[in-house]
This record gives sequence, structure tokens and C-alpha cells, in this order.
Amino acid sequence: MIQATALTKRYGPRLAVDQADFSVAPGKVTGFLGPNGAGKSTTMRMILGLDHPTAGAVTINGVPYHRLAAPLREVGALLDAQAVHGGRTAYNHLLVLAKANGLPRSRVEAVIDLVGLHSVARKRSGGFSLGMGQRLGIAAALLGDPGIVMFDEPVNGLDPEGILWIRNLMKALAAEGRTVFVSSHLMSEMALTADHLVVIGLGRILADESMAEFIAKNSVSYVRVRSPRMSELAPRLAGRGWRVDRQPDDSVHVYDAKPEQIGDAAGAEGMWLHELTLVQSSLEEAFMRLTAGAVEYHAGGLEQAQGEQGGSPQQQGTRERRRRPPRDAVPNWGTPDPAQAGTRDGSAGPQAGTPDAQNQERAQ
Amino acid sequence: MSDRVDAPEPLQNPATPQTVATMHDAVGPAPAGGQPPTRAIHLGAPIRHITFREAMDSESAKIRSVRSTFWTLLVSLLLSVGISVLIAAVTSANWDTISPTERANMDMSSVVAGVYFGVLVTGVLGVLVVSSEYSTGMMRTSLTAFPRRGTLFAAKTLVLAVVVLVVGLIIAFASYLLSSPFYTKHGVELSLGHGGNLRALLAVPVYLTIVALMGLGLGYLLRHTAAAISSLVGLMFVIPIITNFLPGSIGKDINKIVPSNAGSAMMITHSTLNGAPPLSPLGGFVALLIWAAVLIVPAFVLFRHRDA
Repeated sequence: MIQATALTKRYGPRLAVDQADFSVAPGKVTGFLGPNGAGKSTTMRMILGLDHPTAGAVTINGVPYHRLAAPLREVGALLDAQAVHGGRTAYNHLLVLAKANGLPRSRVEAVIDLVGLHSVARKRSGGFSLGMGQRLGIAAALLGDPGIVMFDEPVNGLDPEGILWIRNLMKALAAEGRTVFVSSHLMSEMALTADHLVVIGLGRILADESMAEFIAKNSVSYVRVRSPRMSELAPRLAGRGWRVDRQPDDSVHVYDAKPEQIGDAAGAEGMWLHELTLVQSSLEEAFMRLTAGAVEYHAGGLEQAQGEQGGSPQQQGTRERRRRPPRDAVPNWGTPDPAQAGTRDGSAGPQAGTPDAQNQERAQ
Repeated sequence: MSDRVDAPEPLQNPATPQTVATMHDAVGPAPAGGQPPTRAIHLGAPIRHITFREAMDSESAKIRSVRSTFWTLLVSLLLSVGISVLIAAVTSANWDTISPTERANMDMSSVVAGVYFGVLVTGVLGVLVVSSEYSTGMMRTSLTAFPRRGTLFAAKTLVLAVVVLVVGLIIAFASYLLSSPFYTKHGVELSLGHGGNLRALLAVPVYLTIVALMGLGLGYLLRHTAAAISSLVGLMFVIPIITNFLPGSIGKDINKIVPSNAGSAMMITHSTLNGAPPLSPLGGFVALLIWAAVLIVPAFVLFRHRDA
């Protein structure tokens, strides 16, 4: 159990973590989600006692990290897989850590076998590939058979096989009753692994709820309708009590209605349609809406200065960002917003953004 | 088309939150279906509180498992002994051309003259044991495994001191065995039972160790290998040159307390420093300790309070 209470970290004038309250419970994978620079790593470093909080506190099973009897027996962490002395062999690196907690050599061998580094265990870790380095970091995290494991962006830069391996590992660790706390800036990754979400943006906790709750609260769907006689059709659809939003490209977005209802209605009015598409907002989109005002580094954009000043950024500027989402700021964001794939600059862009492609992605 | 992103299936796990103790002690339930990848690693032993002993074990495993330790110590040994022997051989070969004053200045500090250079390399080892952890990020990993910073600091300091002390003893006696015959054959009294000769020889490992600890302090303070090594070179080689230029007796007094001359004072039995009497051996020792403390005390305070 990790418990943060009003956890705050200030670097000079910048609040990296602002009064964060959250807890991470055993037996499930808790995703720690936020854009780059949101304070995820800082929070994790404070959990491990590497950085000292400016205010507030965070405890592990009720005590601060540095008071744990044998920290590796209780918490295994992979914050930065590169944080090893490259001149030391993988085996010796793990041995150094094992000795620091009075763990036997047999543990070193056990975790080396577990992560599949046996063939390179006697090689210096400086020459390791990213994937091997990540495995070494995970071996270190599991060295003490800890009840809590923490991973900071564990799949970054890994190949698909490595990603799948880490996903399954996290699920298995949680299924064994361990507390699994994993950070990511990719909603799509969290959707596949996390049971619970803690969302952070600009240092503030924006959501702390189960994945199911998050989806229920944050997902929106609508039907995109295109018709050559839209000027007649739109008022009639609105007349049925559905919310109709006109789009600049002469389509309309109809909320609260199913495609078949709209098709039937158009037929009943004697209209014909050129498009009738159900658009699901992805979790990615929901996450971006949530953190819209809380992205630290926006790529330069003409409109961006507007929605950012003033009080509650989550609400303000939402409409603005539906046209220019903060996705621009984070090239790695994953699934693009389907609603925008075709409308942003007129060119449809890669089809990854279409609802069909999204479904395939989810089906994995 | 109509199905949406769903949360992953809730994982099968005991709904009852486990206590910390059972979490570690009991073998956790295997996940339903598939092979449990972590089950093989379960550790049954009870948790013992980590102490200074674990920190020492870990730090000595650390210093043994990187090549830089071996290389710096070897280079320091070769440099110290080699230059000592070289100077001794050249001195001996040119004995007739040496003035009586210079001849009278020969003592144990001449026998181990190479240490003047070798000390820098053990100092670099002191820097590296800390700065390499910062530059690689290993320090964060180390502190995660052993978060009691004061204890970790003490263990690292002690391990370095012991290693350098042992190698320093080897350097001292190897230098003595190989270079003292060049002096004794010209009548220089170097027997270890005589005067302060044994004390002067044993000052070698002490001097090397204290300078290595100064390097360690600089490593913590600057957390950057190049910066810390440069500072160490400045302290050992540049400051003495500057103080040499200071005029009058004040200049001479300041010159006496720079680290290299304070170290020499411990190894001198009767010779002079550039014509001036050095500090007493004890005075040199105290001056060196103060130098080390000036670096290590702030290093300790910063290490404990700084974000890693």
C-alpha cells in the first residue's frame, strides 16, 4: 500500500507535484498516467525517498521509505533502467544490490533466470541493448520478492515482444496479490494493463478511480452525418431532441442518437445521406480532454495561448482543443483523435485514426 | 464497431487485502491460467533490518566489481614505486655532483618521492567511487536499495579508506625495498629502527588514504567526475605553486599547510621544504585531516539532504 498525503514538490518557482493525494492498493495494477512533465517521475522518486517532498508525505505500508527494514524486500522499483554502472556485470550489479539488503546469492541467480538474462549475466551492462537493460532493471526490482512493485514508463522504447512480456509480468505480479504501480504517458498502454487509474497533470491529481469509472465518466460518442441537403436535415434531427453540432466541413455531429435512428429519421424525412459514422471517443481522447489544460510543453500553435490563461483549464478551452488537441505537443501520443483525423487540415492523414483501426488496436 | 474500449478483465486475486507480512512470507496465489512468471522467485526468509554490515558488504562488492578500482590502484602503485626508484637511481648515479646540503637533505621522504605523483591517482579513485555513481545514475539505484544515507556514506568512506590504506602499505614498503639501497650505499641512514624512519614510511598509506577521502568529498560535492578531478589536481598541484609565490614568512607558512606539503611533513625526518622547515609530522597530519574534514563534512551534510 502506497499512500500519498498532500504530497508536494517545488523546484524553484515551479510546482512539480501539487498537493497530491492518492493511494495505491494491493492486488491490482494501478496506472499512473500523465503527459510528459506532469510529475510522474518526481512523485515516484519521492515515494522512494530519492527526492524530499517540499510538503506532505508519502508512506509505504505506513512508514516512509527510508524507515523500511529492508527496502528491497518491500518495494521493487524500476525508475530508470539506465541507472546502472555500465562497467559492472549484470550479475555483480544485482549482487551489490542483494548484499545491501542481506539477500543471498541464490536470489541473484533466480531473478537472472526469471528475466532471461542468463547468457549475458557475466557481461558488463554498459553494452546492453535497451531491452536487456530493462530486463536487468526488472530483475533488480524483483530481487527482494517485494510486495510492491513500481515501474516508471516500463515499455518506453521496447520492441513488441518486450512490451508484451512486461504487460504480462505486471498482470501476473498483481494477480499474486502484489501492489503494482506503473506510470505511462500512453493511455492505450494503460487501457491494456491497468485496473485503476491515477491521472496527473501539471502536478495535480486529476482523477483517482477505477478504469471502469474512468471510461464511464469520460467517454463520449457521436454520429457523424453528411448529407447534400444538410441545411434541411439538421433542424429536423435537432427537432427530435438530439444535440446537433455543425462542423466546418459541412458534416454534423449528432449526439444521443444511434446511427440507425438517424438513418431511419432521414429516410422518414425523405432525405438521403452521404455519410453515417459512429465515432467513439477513445480513452486517449478522454485522457487528453482531462489533461487538456495540464500539458507542460505545447508545441507551438497559433491558438494555444488562448485556452491556457485563467482559472480552470480543464473546462476552459475544451472546445478550442477539440479542433487543435494537445496531441501536437506529444508526438508519441498513440491513437489520434478520430474526430480530427480528417478535419484538422483537410488531409485525412494516416488511417490509424479511423474507428476501425482503433477497434483493431483494442482487440489485441 | 459499437463496442468500446473496455477495461481489462478484473484480475483474479484474493479480494481480501493481504497484510504486509503475509505478502512476503506466504507464497502468493498463482494467477489463474498461464504460467506464473514470478512464482519461482518467492522468498520465504523473514525480513531482517538492514544495518551498517549490509552497507559495508554492498560497498565492498561495488568497489571490487568495477575495473577502475583495479586500474587506478595499479597505476598509483607503478607511478609511486617507479618514480621513487627512478629518482633514487639517478640520485645515486650522480651522487658526486650533489652538494653537501642536498646530500644532508636525503631522508625517507626521498625514498618515497614517487608518492608525490601516485597520490593523485588514489585521489582519483576516491573521486570515482562517488562521481561514477552520480554520472551513471547508479546512486539512485544504490539509495533505493539502501536509503539510510548516513550509514551508506560511512560504509563507502570506510571501504575506500581500507582499500587505499592496504595498497598504500604495499606502495610504501615496495618503494622502500627497491629504492632505499640506492641511498644507503651512500651512507644515508634509512634503517626502520632509526629515528623517525618507520613513522615516515607509515605516513605514506596515511597520506594516500586522506587524499583519497578528499577526492571522495569532492565527488559528493561536485557529483561530476571531471570537475572533481580538476579540483583535486588544483588542490594538490596548483595551489602549492601559487602559495610558493607568496612573499615573506606568511607565504612560507601558508605553503606549509597545503595538502601536498602537509603530507610531506609526515614523511620527512630531517629534510627541509624548499629550504624552510616543514610542519611537524603531527602538524602535517592534523593539517591534512582538516583539509579532508573541510571537504567531507559538507559532503556528508549535502548527501543526506540533497535530492539524489
